[in-house]
Amino acid sequence: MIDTRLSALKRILLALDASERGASAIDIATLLAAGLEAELEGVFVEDAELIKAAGLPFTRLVHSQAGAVGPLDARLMRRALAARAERAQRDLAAAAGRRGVTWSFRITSRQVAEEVTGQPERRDLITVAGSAVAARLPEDCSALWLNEKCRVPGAVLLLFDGGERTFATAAELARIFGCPLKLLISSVPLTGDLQRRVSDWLAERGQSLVIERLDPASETAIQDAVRRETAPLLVLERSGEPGRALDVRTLLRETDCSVLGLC
Amino acid sequence: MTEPLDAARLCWHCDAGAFDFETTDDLEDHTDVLGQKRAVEAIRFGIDMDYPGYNIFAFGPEGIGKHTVVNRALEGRAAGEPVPDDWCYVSNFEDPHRPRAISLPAGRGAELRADMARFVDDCRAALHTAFESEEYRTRRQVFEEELKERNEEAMADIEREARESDIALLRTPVGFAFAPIRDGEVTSPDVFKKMPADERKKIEQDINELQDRLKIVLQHAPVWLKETRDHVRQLNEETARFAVGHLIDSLCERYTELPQVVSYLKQVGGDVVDNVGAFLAGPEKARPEEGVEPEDGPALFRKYRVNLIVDNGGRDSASVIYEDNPIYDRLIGRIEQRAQMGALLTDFNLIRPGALHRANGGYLLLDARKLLLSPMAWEGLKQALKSGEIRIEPPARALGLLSTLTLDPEPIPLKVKVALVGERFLYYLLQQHDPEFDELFKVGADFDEQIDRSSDTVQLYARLVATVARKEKLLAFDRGAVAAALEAASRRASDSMKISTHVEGLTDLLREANHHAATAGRKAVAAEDVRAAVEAQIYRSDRIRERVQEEIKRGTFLIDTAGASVGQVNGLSVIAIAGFAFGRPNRITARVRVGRGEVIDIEREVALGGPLHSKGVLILSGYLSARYATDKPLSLTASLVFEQSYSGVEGDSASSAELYALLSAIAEAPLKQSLAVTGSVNQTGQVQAIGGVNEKIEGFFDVCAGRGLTGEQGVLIPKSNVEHLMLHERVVKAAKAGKFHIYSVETIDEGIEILSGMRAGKAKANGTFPTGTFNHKVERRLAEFAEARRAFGAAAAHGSND
Repeated sequence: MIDTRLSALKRILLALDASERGASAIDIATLLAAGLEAELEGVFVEDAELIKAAGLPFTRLVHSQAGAVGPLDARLMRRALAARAERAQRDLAAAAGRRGVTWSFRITSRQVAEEVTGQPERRDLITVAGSAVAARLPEDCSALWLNEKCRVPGAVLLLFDGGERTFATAAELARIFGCPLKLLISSVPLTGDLQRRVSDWLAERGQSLVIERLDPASETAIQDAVRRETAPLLVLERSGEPGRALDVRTLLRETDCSVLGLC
Repeated sequence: MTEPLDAARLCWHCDAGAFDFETTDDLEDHTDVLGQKRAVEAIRFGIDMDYPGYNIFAFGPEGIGKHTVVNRALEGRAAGEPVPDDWCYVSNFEDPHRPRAISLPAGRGAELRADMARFVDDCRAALHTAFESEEYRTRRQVFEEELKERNEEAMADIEREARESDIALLRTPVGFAFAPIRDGEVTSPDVFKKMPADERKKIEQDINELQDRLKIVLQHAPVWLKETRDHVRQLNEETARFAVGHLIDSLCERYTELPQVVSYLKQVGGDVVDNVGAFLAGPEKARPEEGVEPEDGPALFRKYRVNLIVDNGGRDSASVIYEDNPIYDRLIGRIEQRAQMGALLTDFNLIRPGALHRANGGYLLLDARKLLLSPMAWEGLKQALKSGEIRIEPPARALGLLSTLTLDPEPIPLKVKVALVGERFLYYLLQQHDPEFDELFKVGADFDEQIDRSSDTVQLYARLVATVARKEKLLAFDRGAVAAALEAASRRASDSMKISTHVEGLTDLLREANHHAATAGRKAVAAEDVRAAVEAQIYRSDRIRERVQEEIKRGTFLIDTAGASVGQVNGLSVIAIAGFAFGRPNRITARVRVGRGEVIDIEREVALGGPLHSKGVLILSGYLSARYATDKPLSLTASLVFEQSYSGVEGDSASSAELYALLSAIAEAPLKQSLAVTGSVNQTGQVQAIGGVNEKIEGFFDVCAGRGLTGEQGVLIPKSNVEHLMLHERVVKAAKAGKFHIYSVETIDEGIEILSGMRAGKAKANGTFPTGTFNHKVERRLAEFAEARRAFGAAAAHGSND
């Protein structure tokens, strides 16, 4: 039996904000929590900047659907944020209920970074979506950056660093999301022994494996590999090469993939 | 004095010795119709007339083989006629509520159905392949990227411009907002208030300008989105058209000689292109395995199916359809519905054909009674025949009772010859009461229930017996059995000169005779088996007859069979129950007194007499007046009654008996009670034919036989009924032995002489009758009544003058 990096995971911390993608992020997070038997904690972060801006005397709202301009004040903004938070909580309760996930929910007015920096432990997985992906997350815990489109992954791509547990973790994620697993290999050799063990392990679980060689493992090559899949989840070691060099935010912006950085 | 009929005239005995065969095994089948020349010619004429309205109504009694004759004629004609087209309903993509009807040469309907089922599968595969291709995805992504870039660039321009003025573009849950920033953070209201006024004003102006620009960008966004959608739609159409075009083209080639089908296929192609999303939404393969049709395929693709309602593939001639249960739906067709989530849904796939569809191009045979008893069916059939097309619509809608949305399938042109088979009264009723009947059923085929007895028809009947015996897998019938069957057929016809053509009755008799023969272990059915079968049939039905006879014997019903009485005679009536008829004697009595010339029919007074009976009684008054009271008023009041009659009396067959009773009462001359009388009478005193003569005679015979035949007993019948005599053997035997007599009479005078034993007496030149005759007694009594009335009238007048 190969141990996975996620087996020790006890809590998924899902940072939610007022963006439209909250429901999709909740769906993916509960799917993951159910698969990993972890607890899900939803944190709705009220953006203090918005409330501050709403307090300015001349600020107006430009409605995105109609282009119409309307008044804006702090009360309206608070109400809008509260409404969005309430909907997020309802969505979380429903999704967690459907999948039998233990959950909790709270609202905070601190910045995302502040919130998650103060909270996480090594056994947490921080999940961010929407504007929160811009937040700088602590280096010592695993993090899942969800793409703007927030779709359930169509494939799990592992930027392979040679680690058996990293590999097993990616395989476990592929199982949870019910999608194929692809190994992106650069300089790290996949030894015969490891390949045999991996194959046996996968066969036991009814999974198969596709290997793609990246030469070299440049950011462009990774982006190209990612673009060949539909809404893939790229799994990488946060501290390893080439994951450390990869600009996650650019990848999220330029492609439709999400990124899971393991720690 | 009239002599009794010779026993030989009481029944026709078929001479078995005249047959030149031993058993029916020696005879060939008789495949033609026995008799019915008129009906058969009418049917042939109806079939030959290839014009609208020349439909056939074959009518006659039940059980004489009308259905077989008509069906055989239709089958014979249909065999040489071309196979009609197949018909199917397909979707009308322009107006889904009016499914299109398409005709194809026989067998090609099934081909089209299979082709379309394959087409949907092929279509899905081709579309999935095309739309999942790298090229398509790239081309589509280009449009999406273009849109994204346009939006992002426009927003980025505004953001950049804002940033240059230290202003941030904020995305809030309810829209966009601009706010001044200092050191990367939004300026708080307190800080903003502390700013110099001109700086605040500039910020406000900048933000106003940015808001205006953002507004313009946001107003452009839907336009860009629509442009992108249009591009994607166009790309989808191109891709889909290319993917399915060759499939449609190849199908069109297969049906190139059928423009209706080609036009439909082109519409299918267009619809697939319009609905490509539906094909791509589902899995590539909807079927669990190749060749296995799901019970009810995906609703989305049902519209591409072909509902083959008439499949003539495999036929080699036109069809003759017999619809045993011609209710409206089964005749005209119906639109079924499926219950789904509590709602009833339908589509053209649920259109079901009726008998008219199946018979289209051929012949349709229906039972008239069943058709007329089925609500709306007759009207539906007439509508179809009149309009020359089959229009399927729910009966409730045809009545205007249904207004919910349903289908209105395109009507199908109808060319069919309809043959109705039914009873005679139905034909006459329809002719009389349905103004459209004559227009639509111009040919009436009148089946006779009997044919003339001749040496030829007797031989043919023997062959018919042989045919039925073989068809029913019965033992052979020997010549004696055939003769007995012929006698039974004559008895069924109630006429010694006729033979009944009731094939069903004959078949029953032969089967039952066969049973008797088989029980007796005979190798061929003999005459006694046939007679035993006849007797058994009677026995099974004659419980009520026996009870009546018993009650007469016990004296519950008063019937004298000996002695003589004044004003009393034995009349005869027939009771028919469930196809079995038997005769019953009735005592008829008459009483007279001075009066004003009335004959009171007590039956009529208490509303138990029918109109024909009343007519008979009124005739008696006419007879009396004209015969006996030409020079003086008829000055009596007479009353007539059927004694112990507790139900209605109808018919005039007892009018002669009533007249005998009346004359006896007037003349005060007794009539023999050992005789019974039947026959109607006219005003001149002629005795006329009646029905049921055999049953009536047998009814009185059984009463007499029950009490012991004296040799004095007998029945008076009209002379014109002698040829109808087919009496039971027991009566014939008694007559032969001189123990029972049948008298045929032409006039009342003949009858009165037999009944009274007196001479009737012929009127002299002065109109009076010779003294000592029966009529003289009547004349004298009536004169006494007239005198008494005159005297009474004068006394009354005198009294009033005093």
